[in-house]
Amino acid sequence: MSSPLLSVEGLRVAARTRRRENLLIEDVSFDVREGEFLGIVGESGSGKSMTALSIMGLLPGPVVQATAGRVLLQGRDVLKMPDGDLRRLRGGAIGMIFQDPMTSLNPVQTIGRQIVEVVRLHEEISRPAAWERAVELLREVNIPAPEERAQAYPHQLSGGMRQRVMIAMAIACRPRLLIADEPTTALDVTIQAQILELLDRLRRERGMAVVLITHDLGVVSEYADRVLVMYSGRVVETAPVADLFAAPSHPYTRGLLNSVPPLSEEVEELRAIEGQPPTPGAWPAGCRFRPRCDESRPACARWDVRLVSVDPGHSAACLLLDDKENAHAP
Amino acid sequence: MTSYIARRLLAAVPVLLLVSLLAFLLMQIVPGDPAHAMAGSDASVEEINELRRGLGLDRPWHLRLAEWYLALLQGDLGHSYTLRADVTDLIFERIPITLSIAIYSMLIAVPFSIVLGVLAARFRGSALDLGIMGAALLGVSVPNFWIGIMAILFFSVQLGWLPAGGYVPPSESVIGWLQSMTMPALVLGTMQMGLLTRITRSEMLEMMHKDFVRTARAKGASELRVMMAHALRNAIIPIVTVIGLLFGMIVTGAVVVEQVFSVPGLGRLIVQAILTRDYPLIQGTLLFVASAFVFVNLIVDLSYAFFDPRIRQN
Ligand SMILES: Nc1ncnc2c1ncn2[C@@H]1O[C@H](COP(=O)(O)OP(=O)(O)OP(=O)(O)O)[C@@H](O)[C@H]1O
Ligand code: SF4
Ligand SMILES: [Mg+2]
Repeated sequence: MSSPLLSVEGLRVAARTRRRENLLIEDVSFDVREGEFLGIVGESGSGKSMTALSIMGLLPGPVVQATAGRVLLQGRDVLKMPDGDLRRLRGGAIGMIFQDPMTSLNPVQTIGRQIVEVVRLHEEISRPAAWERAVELLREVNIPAPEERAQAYPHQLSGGMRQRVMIAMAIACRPRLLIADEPTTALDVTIQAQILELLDRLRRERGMAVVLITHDLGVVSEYADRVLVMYSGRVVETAPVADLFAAPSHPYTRGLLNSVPPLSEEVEELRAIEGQPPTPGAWPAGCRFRPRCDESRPACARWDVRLVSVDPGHSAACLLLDDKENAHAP
Repeated sequence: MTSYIARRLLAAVPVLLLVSLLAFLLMQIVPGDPAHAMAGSDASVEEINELRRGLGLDRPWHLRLAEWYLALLQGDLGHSYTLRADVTDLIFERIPITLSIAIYSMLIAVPFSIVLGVLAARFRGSALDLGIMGAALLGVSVPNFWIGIMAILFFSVQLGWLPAGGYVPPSESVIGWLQSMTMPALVLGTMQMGLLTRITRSEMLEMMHKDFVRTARAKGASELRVMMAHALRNAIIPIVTVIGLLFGMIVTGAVVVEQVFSVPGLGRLIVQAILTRDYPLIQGTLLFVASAFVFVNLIVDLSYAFFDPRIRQN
């Protein structure tokens, strides 16, 4: 098999203050293949955005920095790239869209100009030609009357339209990878579906890979090929979508699945996982999910739990799955 | 647009009337009167009373106030007691001088402070930032007159580059005019630069955390581009507000600076008017200064529409 488009290996991100260093994510590894749709799920604060920003080399430095690991894009380590190469990458090979389309666009520039900017940052192209391209892109993301809309300012568009503009900007230079960090959280339900459909269509038409960060397992089951479940800065389970939903192996994943209301039936009992995830710096020893885990046992506090393979392409980090557990257990 | 301007100007009328009323009442309370000032210290009581009658000061104050307002309605600011000229003429004689110092100082202060503020924000926490912020704090807190005196000692006494004071009209010599304006403008600009640098820095720091700045980075824009085309372009709006306020404060600064450098501008005219209790001149100049303030604020508000498309719409 050919090497993956993106390969994150043992990534660790830390927030440094004068007095201490808090790990935000630790030992995160995963691959994204060409054209693949990867969903990343996890509760707030689990490190999803930090993972995404690392791939772009956009961590909010100097406080937050990647302190270990590699982020290989087409074989080159993003974390070690010189600034110039990194800039060529951003908006070039990787596009990114964010949670809040209201605030993610520059309020004092027309949307046409903002798309022209990214095109001209990456290609030798005249202003009028870049404007043409901007209009084309707006058409491609289903913005009606794109010639006129290109002249509009962000505040003149609805939230859904703005997110479409963000998408147009992100795909302007034909990226191989599009990262979408909770792109629909701030939008109405009907608009959410449209945006996701759009992302999926673009992925198919352009053959680019998509990494979608979301809280919504329903969305993941519908669009993603593979899922990465994060908890407290770690990957706790990763599997092809069908496997994950059929046989969730980590108690946290099972909890998440239980908290999703069944699509067809009436919501009878919405079982959210009790308690709050621990904050960085206050992670418990051993398994970080232990304080909230129904199935925890004394050994869970003692061993640092590693991802183990359950099935081909499916692994989870829980002591229950570790064959060697019995050997170690007292 | 036109109706907006008209409304704003109309709303300013009561404010201006109040300002002139306060100025008038204040002068009634403060001891001393123009007759005393004009007659000199060894004048007899009769002479002073005679002068007072001549100026119409023996009549009740509310009558005089009413008369002043009546004349104002006809565009007449009255006649100066001491300078024996129309107040309007006196003011318009002095405006170009003060205005050119003001504009000159702004031309120095605005570009410098924006560059310094942006640099300080970009290299936040560095020695450069500390240095710029330290200098800005000095600029704000050291009194104008002291900087003025130091500047005279250095540039004219020590180096002999610039005149220590006085004013050369541009009709006489453009170079001489520029030279006579340079030190007052520099001194006046120092305080503005201090304030404006600090504002620019804090606005830039705020902008740099905005989502659209992150978007610009995600597009592959260089740090310089991110700072200038996105962060600064958005920070300009609050910065312009402060520039407008500073322009208003220049009159205060001009009073001191024109005194130190003996420049015959509006500031000096005001000081002179107050020292000689020249009521019409005080009233007139203060009313003019207040109007100028209102006008500058209007310009600032109108400029928002230029810088911010969100405001342009409404
Ligand atoms: N600039 C920062 N400095 C220090 N810590 C930060 C910073 N930004 C975020 N964090 C911390 O990093 C951790 C991971 O944050 P991250 O934004 O990746 O979470 P997330 O999974 O994306 O959550 P959400 O679903 O709320 O977006 C959080 O605990 C957060 O408090
Ligand atoms: S390791 Fe233990 S505490 Fe952690 S998820 Fe598995 S059973 Fe629960
Ligand atoms: Mg996030």
